[in-house]
Amino acid sequence: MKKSKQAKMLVAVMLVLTTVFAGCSSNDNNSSSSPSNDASGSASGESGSKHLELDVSMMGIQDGFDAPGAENDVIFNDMEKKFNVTLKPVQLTWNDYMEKTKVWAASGQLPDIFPNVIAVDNKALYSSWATQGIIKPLPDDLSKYPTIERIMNLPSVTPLKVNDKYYMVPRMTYDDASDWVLDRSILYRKDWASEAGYTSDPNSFEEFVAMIKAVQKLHPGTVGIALQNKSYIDTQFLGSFPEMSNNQSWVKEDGKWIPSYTSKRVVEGLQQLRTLYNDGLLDKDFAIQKEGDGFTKFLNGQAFISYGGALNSAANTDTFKKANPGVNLTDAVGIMNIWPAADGNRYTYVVTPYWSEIYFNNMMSDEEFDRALQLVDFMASEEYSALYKNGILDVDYKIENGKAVSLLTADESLAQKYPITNTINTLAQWHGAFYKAGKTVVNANPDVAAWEAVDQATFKKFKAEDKPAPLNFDIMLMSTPAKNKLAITTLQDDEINTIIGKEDVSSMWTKAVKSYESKGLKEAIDEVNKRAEEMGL
Amino acid sequence: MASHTQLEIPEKLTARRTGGKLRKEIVKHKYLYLLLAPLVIYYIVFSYVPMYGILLAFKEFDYSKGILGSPWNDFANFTAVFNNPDFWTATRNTVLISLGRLIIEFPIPIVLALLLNEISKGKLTRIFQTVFTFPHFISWVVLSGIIIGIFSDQGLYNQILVLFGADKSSVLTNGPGFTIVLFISNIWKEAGWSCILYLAAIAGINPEMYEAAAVDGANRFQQMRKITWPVLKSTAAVLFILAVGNVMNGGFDQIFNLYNSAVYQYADILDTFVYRSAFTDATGFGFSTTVGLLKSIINFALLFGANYIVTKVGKEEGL
Repeated sequence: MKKSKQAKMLVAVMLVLTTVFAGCSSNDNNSSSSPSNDASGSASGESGSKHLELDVSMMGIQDGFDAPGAENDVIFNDMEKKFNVTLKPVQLTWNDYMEKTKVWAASGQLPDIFPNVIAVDNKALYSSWATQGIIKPLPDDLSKYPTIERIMNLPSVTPLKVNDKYYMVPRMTYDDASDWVLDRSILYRKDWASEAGYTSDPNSFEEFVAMIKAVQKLHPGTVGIALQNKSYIDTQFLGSFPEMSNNQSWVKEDGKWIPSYTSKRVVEGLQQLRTLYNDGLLDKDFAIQKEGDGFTKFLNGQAFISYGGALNSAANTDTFKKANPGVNLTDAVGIMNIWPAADGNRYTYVVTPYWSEIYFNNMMSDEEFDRALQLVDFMASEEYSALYKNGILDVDYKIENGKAVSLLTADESLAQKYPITNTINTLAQWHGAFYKAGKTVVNANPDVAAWEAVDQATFKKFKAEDKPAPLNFDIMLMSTPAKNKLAITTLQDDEINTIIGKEDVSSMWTKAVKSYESKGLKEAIDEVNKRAEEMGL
Repeated sequence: MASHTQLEIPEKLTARRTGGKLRKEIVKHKYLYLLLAPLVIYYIVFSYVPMYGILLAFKEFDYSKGILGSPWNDFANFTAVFNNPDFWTATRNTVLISLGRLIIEFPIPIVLALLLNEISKGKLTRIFQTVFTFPHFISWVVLSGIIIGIFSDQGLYNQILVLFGADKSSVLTNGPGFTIVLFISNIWKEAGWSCILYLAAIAGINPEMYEAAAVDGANRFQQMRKITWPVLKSTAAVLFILAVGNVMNGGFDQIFNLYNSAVYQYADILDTFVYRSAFTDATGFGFSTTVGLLKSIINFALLFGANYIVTKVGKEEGL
């Protein structure tokens, strides 16, 4: 009797422990499920052939589904009907999106569709997940998904193939890498510059310095240059070494590919920043400030220039108006065109036209995968951008003289009318191209509308006048073991320390680069050059 | 003779007897053990079972195979950690900052408790206690904003410097300056709260002892030295051991909220290093787990070392 009790107890304990271990370990089915090579083949039926449920995880997705009136979101409901699917939200938040996804991947619980920032930022993880069968490869034939097919053929996407297959769909911000024209915008008080006698963009760094000094004389106590966040410090390189404005870039020097930050050309930009800092023209607090603090100074009329920041929101235009009473925003603020680099060209910032990607759980059936791809294809299209940005034609907006004009009343908004769409709209893209092309509905807030007009006009002007920084995506996105591990997390810190330091700029930077050698810099350069030679780059 | 008899008892029999005794004990107090059961299960499930995750430090993690199924990697994670100069910088900073906390910050609450005990009882003591305790309830997130504001270019500190004709100084981007702010702000925030335990110990002292000492002609300092301190000593010893146990923690909340890239060389501790390497990683789970494991091993050795020293020096004290 006692023995049987002991046995029962033992079984109970084993059951508890087994349950716990099972919960913590990965699902073995996952490893055995081999990536499908031809999802489209098996999903030959129409999207409406069988109703399917798909789990979708996104930051804040649950908030949309919980919002009042969510069940009446016509745009979302129509989309579910169109693809005969029910989307089940899986909540993620800004501060746990990465580690939660990793834990899901480790325990075989990944949602069917999930966006994340991996392929560019963490090539080692992307490559591991692809080869370990965690994420699903796209079918070879993408003709059934025309928008996805167009995206996957972009030169900035092709280097992301692993074993000749794609394992993600980039979430496009723009249509092309050269469209980041204003992402490193230099906002400035053109009214202050004009007061000081500067009515056109500076033609050199020296002229730029003289302009700030002249303005500071008229507005004592103001900051010369404030930063939206620390990474915007690299804007400075657009005028000297444009490739370094994106510090993940590689350049070919003396017949060899090297990371831009190891080039001697970095020193000129750093020296400019040191000059600006020492002369009190660059915000003395830039190294200790939190994100957005510098731009707030600009909005509050405490800074002449802001590297980065956007005025496309009512909150920001209102802050500006309150802090600068009687000042008209578009009369006062301009977007400065950077001075020409040594070759006489003015350059603009360049990065891949996407910065995050959308992934699919490898445990999905081919039928589910086909439906998910159809959905993503639709959500990445301009048709969907129009629905999210403007609403339903002739219900929420109308076209007047080629412009989309809102039909909503003052107390209506698209966000309230379509709350799920309002949170899920960025699942497959960021609608930047639609906005920059001036296709979005004219904003109901006149200040924002006026600024958006300036923004869109400047975008066109800079696209026509400037050159995109010459970046090579084949090298930048190349995946080699040592390059994948080469995470110079101290790069920005070293830049800051050099700018605020006392020693000679050149020797400080040489010392910093030397320290990267222990992190695998040399191995990465060797591997990249070997591969580049094989590829004929 | 008795010990000789005991030696002759077969080992199995002793074990059976002990087991029987334990069973009897459990049966006798079954309801108390039943009350304890949820807590024990909680710790097993949430604190001990997940410990198998430590294996990650010795494995090349494969997401499809899980922790147990992933292949061993011949200490590659340890090699990567030891070859990373940032790890050594973080270790050095952790030890130095923590030692600073032990030497500079640890005695302050004791001194504060002794001083509070010396001022006349009543409203004033309570006011002081409240004033000193209050900062504990402000989070580091809020406090860091205030501190950064004070030391910014246009902040109070620089305004005062300018007022006295001195040059402005960027304290928070200057390593030694940052370290001083680190200690002072933590003392300001936590000393009042930490001294509560000492005040509680002091409250337990029989007032008649002070009266007797006064009759014998002992002054306030002598009373403090001969009556108050011996009582406080054992509390301080226990708290010291606990503080040593925290040596490798170094205060993540405070440093994470307050530091900036210009002072990583001085302020990046193991916890902030693990956090940053885990989030910006090309390093993976194994790297962070290895750093965490190394930290725990060093902490374990320090804790037991401190306990050993305290028990040797102060006989009845220690844990």
